[in-house]
Amino acid sequence: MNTPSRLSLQTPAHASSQTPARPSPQLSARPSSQARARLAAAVTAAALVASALAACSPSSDQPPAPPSSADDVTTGVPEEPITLTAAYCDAHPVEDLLDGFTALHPNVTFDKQYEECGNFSTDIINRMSSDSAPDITQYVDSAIQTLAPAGHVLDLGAYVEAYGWADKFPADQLAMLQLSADGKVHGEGAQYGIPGGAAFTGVFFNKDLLDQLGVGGPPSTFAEFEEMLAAAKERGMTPLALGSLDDGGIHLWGGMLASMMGADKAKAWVNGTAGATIAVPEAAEAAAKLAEWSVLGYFPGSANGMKEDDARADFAGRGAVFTVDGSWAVGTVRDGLGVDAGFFGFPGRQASDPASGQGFCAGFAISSRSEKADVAAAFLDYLASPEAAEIAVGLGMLPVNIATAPQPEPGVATELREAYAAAAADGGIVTFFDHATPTMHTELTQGLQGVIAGEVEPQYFVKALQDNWDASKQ
Amino acid sequence: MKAGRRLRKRQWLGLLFVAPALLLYGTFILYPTARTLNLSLWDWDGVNPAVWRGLANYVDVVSDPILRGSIVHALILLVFFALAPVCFGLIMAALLTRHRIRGMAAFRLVYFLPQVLPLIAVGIIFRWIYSPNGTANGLLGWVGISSDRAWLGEWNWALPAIGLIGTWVQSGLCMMLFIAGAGNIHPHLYEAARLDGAGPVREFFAVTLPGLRAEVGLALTVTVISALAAFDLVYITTGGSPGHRTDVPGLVIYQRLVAGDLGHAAALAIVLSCLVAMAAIATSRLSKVEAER
Repeated sequence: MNTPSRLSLQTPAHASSQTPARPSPQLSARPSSQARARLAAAVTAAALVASALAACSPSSDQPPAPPSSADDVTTGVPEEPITLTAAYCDAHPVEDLLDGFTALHPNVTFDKQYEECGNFSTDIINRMSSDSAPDITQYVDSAIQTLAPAGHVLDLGAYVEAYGWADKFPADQLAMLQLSADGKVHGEGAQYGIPGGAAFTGVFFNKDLLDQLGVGGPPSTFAEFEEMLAAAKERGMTPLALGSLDDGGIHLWGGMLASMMGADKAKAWVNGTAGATIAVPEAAEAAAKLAEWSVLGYFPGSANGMKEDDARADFAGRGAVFTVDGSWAVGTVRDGLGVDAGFFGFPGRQASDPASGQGFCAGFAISSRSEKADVAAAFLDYLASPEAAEIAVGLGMLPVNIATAPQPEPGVATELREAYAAAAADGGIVTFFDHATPTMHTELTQGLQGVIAGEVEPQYFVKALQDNWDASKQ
Repeated sequence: MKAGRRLRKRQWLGLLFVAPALLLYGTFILYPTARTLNLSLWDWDGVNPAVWRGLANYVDVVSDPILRGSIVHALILLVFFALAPVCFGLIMAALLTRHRIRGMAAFRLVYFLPQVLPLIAVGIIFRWIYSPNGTANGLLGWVGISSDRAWLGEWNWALPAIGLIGTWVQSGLCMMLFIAGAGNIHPHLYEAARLDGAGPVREFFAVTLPGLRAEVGLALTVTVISALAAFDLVYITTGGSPGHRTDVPGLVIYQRLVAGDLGHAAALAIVLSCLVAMAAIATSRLSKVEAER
């Protein structure tokens, strides 16, 4: 290696080996072992395919049939000690309501099975279709849409009759928890759940900032609302706080859609009424408006990368004039803004149109396998009581039945309650749009982010939603 | 005859030896694979009666823009998760092995740290870094580019932003592998190269790179699989947002599973498994060729 040569710059492997790598004696033995391995692989693959094709179609067990009339069920709570299992993901108000029932009936206790909401909707499908189904479950719409047609959720018809629930709960609340036999149409068919509290979206606003704009009180039409956004932008304020990372700003768009399309048509679509469509110019217009607001900078350009919680915190920290959010945000907003916090329902096109909002009720359903369904039904009946309403109000939530519920402390919670009551009276409560089909949440989230980014044409966005809807309702 | 019987007996005995392993393999690999294959031929929500779909789910994997897009994104991530870290690792290895460097252990620790952190933690850290007021925009500000972008929410930047996290995570691993591998290259080769008048670049291509062939193969296998099977990082940073621009197969499989679309989830899972297997075979060839010589 003393004499420099080009050879030594070759790879170490070449430098050390004199003979070509193959064929070597060892390698010549290979084909047979390779062939055997190949044969084994082929046999394995064939076995896999055969077992896949031969295996019977995937299925789950058949649950028992529901009681058919009020005569088949017992109302009231028995004397002996009873434990019911209850599965849920919203610790509040569910745990508070369960505890409230135990306080009235000390012999009835609950095995509380809490699970984080992200996993709950999937997990509850497995659990409700198993032999160890919980007696009571929180009503998760997407899961019940799957479970009810297979008979895993108790048809409450007999209890509705026995307890007279049609008179105890508001009709539109009950309708949200009704499903057709195939699970595809809301608001008709069997009653599968009973509401325990309500959620409602609308516009939170900062009274102090709105005063500074000098544009008067809350808007009564969509056009007025838009003018206020423009005025805020002109003054260098952030008009709307928006975080569209987790769900595409679904509540903002939902408000705009219900306003443009009209609450009735929007309701028909989300409920799955035959022939309903969202592929209409008004819906595309709502999406186009959202894209326009994005370009005009009515909400931060970073919306697509911001979580909803963070946008809410921004608004509560006086960072924006408005935000479209739900009743669950009332605590955060009140803590942040105090007396400056306000709320109004999303304004309609004309002042005569009802202000609207999306909503759903936190409801409960009973397993069709439950042997303690009578006691579980007694708990559902308790949800209509003033005691239950007081618990919901105490937590800053909307009670099921506003008429019988105590008043909240004055402030944004009262404004929320009034807006909700007005929308309920005018037919302005639309079920959350993502309830339309089991996969609508992803479709909406991803599509809206595209609209906000200016990458998805409004009419294609609307068409994709309708395609999803059509595929699901087939 | 006698010999034949003995052979057969020996074969049975052999089977007895592999039985425990076979049982485990069958229970946890073969049976689930068969089930997945079966599921991929049906339209089933997990509860209601299943409807036969045949190969239609596979047709959808190719034709449906969301399902197909996820695979395309995984291939793009290959550049960030596999190619870039291997290049970076090679460069670092070349620089660090040329001279003795004091505090080498500390360097190794720092560069290897991302590999030790759980990807969920990494994801959360980078969510902060990429936020409008985050470090990424801060660094851009230093070089005179003022930005308040939320990088993970940007239509065209979200996927590269996730990719760069992968580069950061995998580079340390590659570097460590290559430094270890370079230690096994005989010093005589370097000496010879220098005597031949090779500069640092020539030395790298003539000695270091060929000598690291096995390590590069291994690094590629590991990183390519991590790119194709990526889930946790994407799940925690964007969840497929914005507008399906960061969907990857693992995430879409999960989403379909959750939405009760088991057929498409299973079909995509089978396709992904095939892709990973193909990639693993292809990259392991690299190191095998080396070993055979």
